[in-house]
Amino acid sequence: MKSTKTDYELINSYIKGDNRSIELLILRHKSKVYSYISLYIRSRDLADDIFQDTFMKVVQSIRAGRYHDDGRFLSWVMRIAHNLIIDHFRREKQLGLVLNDDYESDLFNSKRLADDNVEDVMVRRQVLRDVRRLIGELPEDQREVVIMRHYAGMSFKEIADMTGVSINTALGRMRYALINMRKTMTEKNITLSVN
Amino acid sequence: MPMKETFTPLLTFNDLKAYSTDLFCDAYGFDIQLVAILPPQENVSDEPADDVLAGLFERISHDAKVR
Repeated sequence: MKSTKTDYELINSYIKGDNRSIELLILRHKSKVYSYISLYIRSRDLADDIFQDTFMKVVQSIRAGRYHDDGRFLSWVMRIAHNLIIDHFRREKQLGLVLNDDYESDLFNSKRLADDNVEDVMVRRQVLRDVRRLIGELPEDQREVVIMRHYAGMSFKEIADMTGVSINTALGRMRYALINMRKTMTEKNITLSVN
Repeated sequence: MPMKETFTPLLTFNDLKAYSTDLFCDAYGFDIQLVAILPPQENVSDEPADDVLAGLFERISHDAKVR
């Protein structure tokens, strides 16, 4: 069920005791948030955990009165998701973990793919593989800027704030990312399109 | 030159404050290039399974009761 209320109106309804409002808010943004996490995290189980933890933090912050609306609710959620992803990679690095690469099989079992017909699934699989391959070739700092801008819809000010660099640096990283992606596409003969 | 009272603002102060860098981005043509290289979000979108959502709603409900 979709709601015509704005994000802020749903948050206010939830604060006033309407629990259904937070569910509607999550349902509205689930795809963007989950896709964002999936671009970084290979394991679907882990992506599920980070998705849940993200919204638990969102809900707890709202309850504690720590959310101040500026019309950018989704960006705020993405920032929380991003911090959890970074925390995960830091922990993984500290523990020296080597995870199984179950990414491909997870990807193919995804709900979205299951809803499409066979031909669409084949094309989408290829595009998803190529997008991750292309983005995956970029240095980490450039990959972040591309994902945050193109798939999370963040402003460059938000990207700069989140990554702890100046706006000029973030813009510079984007410039190099575009150069590198074009180079990779040419070298590896990658064309990304979905009809 | 002072603005006339009847002018129509294309950008509010908040727009300029929050998104001024995006104007530079447009000027550099970054967004146009990104759209040309990468498929849009809806074409690489994925969704959590229903049981993940159900589990999340359960956690939220339980957390609210505990607090």
